[in-house]
Amino acid sequence: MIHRLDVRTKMLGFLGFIMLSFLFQDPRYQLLILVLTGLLAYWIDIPQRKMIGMLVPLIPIIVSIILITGFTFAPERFDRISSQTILFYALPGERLGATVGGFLMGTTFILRLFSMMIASSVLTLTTSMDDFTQFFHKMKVPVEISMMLTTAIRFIPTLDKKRRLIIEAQKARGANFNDKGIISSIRSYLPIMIPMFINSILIANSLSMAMLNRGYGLSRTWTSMREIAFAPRDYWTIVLIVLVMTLAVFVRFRWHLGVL
Amino acid sequence: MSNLNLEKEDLKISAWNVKRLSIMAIFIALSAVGALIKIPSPVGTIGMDSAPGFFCALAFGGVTGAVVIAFGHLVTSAVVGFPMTIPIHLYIAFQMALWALTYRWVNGKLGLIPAVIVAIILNGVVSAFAMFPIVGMGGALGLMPFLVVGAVINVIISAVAYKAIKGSRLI
Amino acid sequence: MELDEIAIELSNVSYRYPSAVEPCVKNVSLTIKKGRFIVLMGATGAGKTTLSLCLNGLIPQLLEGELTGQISVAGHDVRKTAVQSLSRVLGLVLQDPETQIIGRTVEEDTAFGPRNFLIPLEEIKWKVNQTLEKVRLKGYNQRLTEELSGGEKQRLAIAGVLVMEPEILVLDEPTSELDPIGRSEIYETLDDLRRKKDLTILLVEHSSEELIYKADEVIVLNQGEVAWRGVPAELFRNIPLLLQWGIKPLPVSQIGWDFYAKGWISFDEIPLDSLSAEALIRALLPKYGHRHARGQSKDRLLEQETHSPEKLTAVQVSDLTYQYSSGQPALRGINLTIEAGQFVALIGQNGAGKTTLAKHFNGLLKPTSGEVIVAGLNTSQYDTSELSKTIGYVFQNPDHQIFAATVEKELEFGLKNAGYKGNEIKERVEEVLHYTGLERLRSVHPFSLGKGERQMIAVASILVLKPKLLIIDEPTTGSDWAGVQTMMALIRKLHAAGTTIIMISHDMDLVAQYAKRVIVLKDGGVLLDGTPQDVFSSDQILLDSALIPPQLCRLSAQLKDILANETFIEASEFTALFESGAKRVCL
Ligand SMILES: Nc1ncnc2c1ncn2[C@@H]1O[C@H](COP(=O)(O)OP(=O)(O)OP(=O)(O)O)[C@@H](O)[C@H]1O
Ligand SMILES: Nc1ncnc2c1ncn2[C@@H]1O[C@H](COP(=O)(O)OP(=O)(O)OP(=O)(O)O)[C@@H](O)[C@H]1O
Ligand SMILES: [Mg+2]
Ligand SMILES: [Mg+2]
Repeated sequence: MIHRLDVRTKMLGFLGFIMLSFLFQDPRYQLLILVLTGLLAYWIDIPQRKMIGMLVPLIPIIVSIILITGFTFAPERFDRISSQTILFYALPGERLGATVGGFLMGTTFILRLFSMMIASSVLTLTTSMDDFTQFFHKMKVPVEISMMLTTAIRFIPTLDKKRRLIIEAQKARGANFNDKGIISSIRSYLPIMIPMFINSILIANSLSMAMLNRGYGLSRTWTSMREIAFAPRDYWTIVLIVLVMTLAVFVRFRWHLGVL
Repeated sequence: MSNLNLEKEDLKISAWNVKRLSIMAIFIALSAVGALIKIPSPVGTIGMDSAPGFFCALAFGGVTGAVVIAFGHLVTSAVVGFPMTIPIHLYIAFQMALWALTYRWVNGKLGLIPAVIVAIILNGVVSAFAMFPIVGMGGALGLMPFLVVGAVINVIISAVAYKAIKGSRLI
Repeated sequence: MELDEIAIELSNVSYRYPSAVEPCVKNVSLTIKKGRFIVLMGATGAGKTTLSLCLNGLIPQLLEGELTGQISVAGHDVRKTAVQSLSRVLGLVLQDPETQIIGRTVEEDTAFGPRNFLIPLEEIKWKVNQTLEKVRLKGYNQRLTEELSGGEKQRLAIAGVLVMEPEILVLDEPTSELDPIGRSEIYETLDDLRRKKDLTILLVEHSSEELIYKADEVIVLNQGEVAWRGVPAELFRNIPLLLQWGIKPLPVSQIGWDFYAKGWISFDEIPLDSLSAEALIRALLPKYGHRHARGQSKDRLLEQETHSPEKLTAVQVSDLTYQYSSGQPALRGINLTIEAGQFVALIGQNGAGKTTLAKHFNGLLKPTSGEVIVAGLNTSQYDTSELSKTIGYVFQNPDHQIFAATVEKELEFGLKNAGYKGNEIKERVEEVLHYTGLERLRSVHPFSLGKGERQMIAVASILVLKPKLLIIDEPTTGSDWAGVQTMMALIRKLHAAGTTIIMISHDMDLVAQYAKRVIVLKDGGVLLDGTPQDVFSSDQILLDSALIPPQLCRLSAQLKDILANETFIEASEFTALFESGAKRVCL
C-alpha cells in the first residue's frame, strides 16, 4: 500500500510527521506518536533486527540527553506548575536542580528520536531509488546533485564489501583492533582507512571513465524511466495528512494540551 | 564530424567535471561506510564518517571536501534514519562544510599541523556550542566530549592518510 | 568511401602520463580495418590499457599529460570530438566490471547510456532487451546488479556499451578473473556479435589458447611500441618471440618447437591445438620414438610419492559446513587432510567456495558446524591475529592491504603486529626483500608500481612472518607470462624449503605444472581430490564443474593407446618420448 503511494505524498506525510512530533513536549503525546509509527512499521514489517542495530550505538547519547536536560532546564522554562517542581539538587546550596519537567523533556527527546528513526526507515524502505531521483527532479534539484546522490547510494554496498575485504586482509597480517586509548586505536585503524581511501580513488577514477564511456554529461537532462503521477489514493492520503495536522495544531495551540 | 563538433559545443558537463562528480559520489558513499567502522574510544565507539570529507578537502580541494562532508553527513544520518531530525542534520551538514573549507584553507596558509588543530577545535568545541540553541547549555557541554573525540580521530586519520597517499601518483 | 573502410587510424601517437618521466606509448602507427577481430597483447606495463584509453578520447580529455600524433576513430578526430559523443562510435569496456555497473538493476544499468542520449523510453526498452539477448542475459532485466556472478557482471558491462550500438568495441582484459567456461562464454559472445553485424573488435588479453582461431590479427605492444603484427598462428608458432615479449606460449606448440628445432618438421607444421599435435606425434613416433617414456614417468611419480617423508598434518578439516548470514550454505560437509609440505591446488568454478574454504584455514571465518584444525590449533578457539604467525594468507587483490608509503614499511607491518623488535625486523625485511627481488624498490611508494610488483609486495609482506602454511588466492590474475613465472618460481622455492602451499587458481596449466595435489570444489563440496594426472584425466566430471583440463592433459587423453593411460603434464615428458637426433626403428 504505502509502497505504491506517490513519492511526493510520502514526503509530505514525512514532513507532517516531523512537525507533529515537534508540536508536543508531553511524553504521553510522544508515546502516542511513537505507538502509531510503530504500528505503521509493523504493518509494512520492517526488519526488527535492523532497528535494534540502529538503536544500540545511540544509548550513551540517549542517557546523557536525559540527565543533562533533567538538570539544565530551568524551572521557569515550563508553563506547567507540576513541571517546575524541583526533585533534588545535584550540588549543595540549591544549585543545578533536577526538575520533573526536565526529565519529562528528556523522555520526550528520546521518544521523538525513536519515532523519527522508525518513520525515516519506513520512508526509505517503501521508496525506490528511482522514486527519490524523480522527487529531486520534480523539486528542481540540479541533475548533478541527484546523479551524485544516486551514484553514492548505489556504491555503498560496493564499498562496504571493500571494507570487509580490507579488514580481512589486515587481520591476516596479524592486525588487531581491540586496544583502547585514542592514539593507539587511531594507529591500529590507519591500515584500514588508508586502503579504503586508495580503493575509493581507484573506483572513482574508473567510474568516471565508465560514465563518460556511456555518454554521461552530453546533456544536462536524460530520459526519465518512469513518469510519476498522483493516483486517487494519493489525494485521499494528502487529505488525511492535512486533517491530522490541523487537528494537532488545534489541540496544541487552542487547548494548550501536550505542553509541559 | 562537424555535427559532432557542435555536440562538443553544447556539451553540458565536461570530462573533468564528471571526474569531480564521481569522486564526490564515491567519497560520500565512503562516509556512509565509514560510519560503520567503529573505533573504540573512552566515550564509546566513534564512526569514521567525516574523515573522508576532510581527506577530500586536502586531496581534491576545499569545495569537493565541503560537498562530500556535508552530503556524507546527510546520507550517513539518513541511513540510520535522521536520529536528530532532518533540520538539525541540515544545520550540522552546513557547519561541517564550513569546517572542511577552513581545514583546506589553513593547510594552504600555515601547513598541515595547524590545520589539524584548527579543524579539531572547530569540529569539536565550536560545533558543540553551535548546538546551544537546540539542546541548551547542558546539551552542548554533554555533546562536547563525543564531538571532540570524534573530531580528533577523524581529522588526524584524514591528515595521516593524506600524507601517506600524496607520494603516489593517485592524487 | 576509402575512409569508411578504416575503423581506427593512429599515426605516430605518443603519450606520457603527467606523473611519469618518459612516454608509455611511443610513436605508435596503426590502421585497423572495419569488421576485424584484433587481439592486443604484450607484457604488463606495455601500454595496452593506455592505448585503449587514447582510442575513445579519455586521453587527452580526462587524463592530462602530453599526447602527440593523430588519432582518428571511424573518421572522427579524437581530440575534436567529446568523449561522450565518441561513445556511440567506439565502446570501451574497462578492466574491472564492478566499477562500470552504474545502475541498481540490470535494466537500469543497461539503459544508462541511451538515456544520456535522450532516446525515447519505448526505444530504450526495446534496445535494452535486444542487447541483453545479445550478451546472453535475456530475462535478467529486474535482477539486482550486486547479486550477479563475475561472468554475468562482465557480460553486463559489455551490454552497457553495446546498447549504444558502437561500430568499434574495445575490451580490456574482460576475462581475467573468470573460470575457464565463463571465459569461453565471453569469447563466444564476442564471436556472435561480429557475426551478427560487422563490429570491429579490439581485445586486450594475456591468455591465448581460445583466441588463436577467433582473432584475425594479433598486435603485440612492447614498452609502448608496436613490436609485431600479423596472424595469430604465425606468432604462436614462434616460441622465442613470445618469450621475448612476455606472452604465454601454448604447451603443444612448445612440443612442436622442440621437433622444429631438431629439424624434424617445418615451421608451419608446429601444432597449435591438441588435435594437430596428436596427429603430429602419431606421425613422428614410428620414425623417432622410443618406449622408455613409461618407466621414466614412473620415476617421476615415485619421486613425487616420496616428497614429504614425515607425514605431519598441516590442515585437518572434518565435516565443515559454512553459511553466510545471507543465503544458502557456501560449504557443505567438507573433509580434508593436508600433510605438511604438500603443494595443494584448490580449483573450481566461480562461486564454488574456494575462498570461503581457504578463509577457514586462518580463522577469518569460523565453521558453522564441524571443525578446522591448522598446525594443531583449532581455528574456532584462536584469533586470526594469533594464527597469522604460522599461517600466511595472500589475498587476490594486493590493493586491499597496501597502506604504507614505502615498500619497506609495508613489510614491517606484519612483524610489528607479531611483536618483533628493531633488529629482528630489519633482518627479516632485508632477507625477504632479497628473496623476492624487491631490494631496488625498498623505498618506492607501492602505488607508483605496476600491479605485478604490488602483487609481489603483498606476498613479501606475508613472507616476512615465515609462515609454515602459505595460502595464495589467485596469485597470477592479470599478470603477464614473465610475472607468472617469477611468482611461481618463488612459490616453488618456498615449497622446496618445506612450506606447505595451498594455491587457488583458475589457470589450469599452472595447476597441472606446479601442484602435487589438486582438489576440485563444486557447490561447496569436494568433487575430486588427487594428483594432477588423476584429476585432469577425468575430464567429463571437470566439464560439469565448468573446468577444462589443460591442453597437454587433453593431448595425453587422445594418445591413451600410446601412453598406456598415463597423463603427461609437461611438454618435456612428451618430447622425452622421442630420443633426440638419430633415427631409430622402434618395435
Ligand atoms: N595514472 C598513471 N600515471 C603514471 N603512470 C601510469 C599511470 N597508469 C599507468 N602508468 C604506467 O604506464 C605504463 C603502461 O600502463 P598500462 O596500464 O597501459 O599497461 P598495460 O599494458 O595495460 O598493463 P597490464 O597488462 O598490467 O594492464 C605502466 O608502466 C604504468 O606503470
Ligand atoms: N560475504 C559474502 N556474503 C554472502 N555470500 C557470499 C559472501 N562471499 C561469498 N559468498 C557466496 O559464497 C559462495 C562461494 O563464494 P567464494 O568466494 O568462496 O567462491 P570462489 O570459489 O572463491 O569464487 P571465485 O573463483 O570467483 O573467487 C558464492 O555463492 C558466493 O556468492
Ligand atoms: Mg591494462
Ligand atoms: Mg575467490
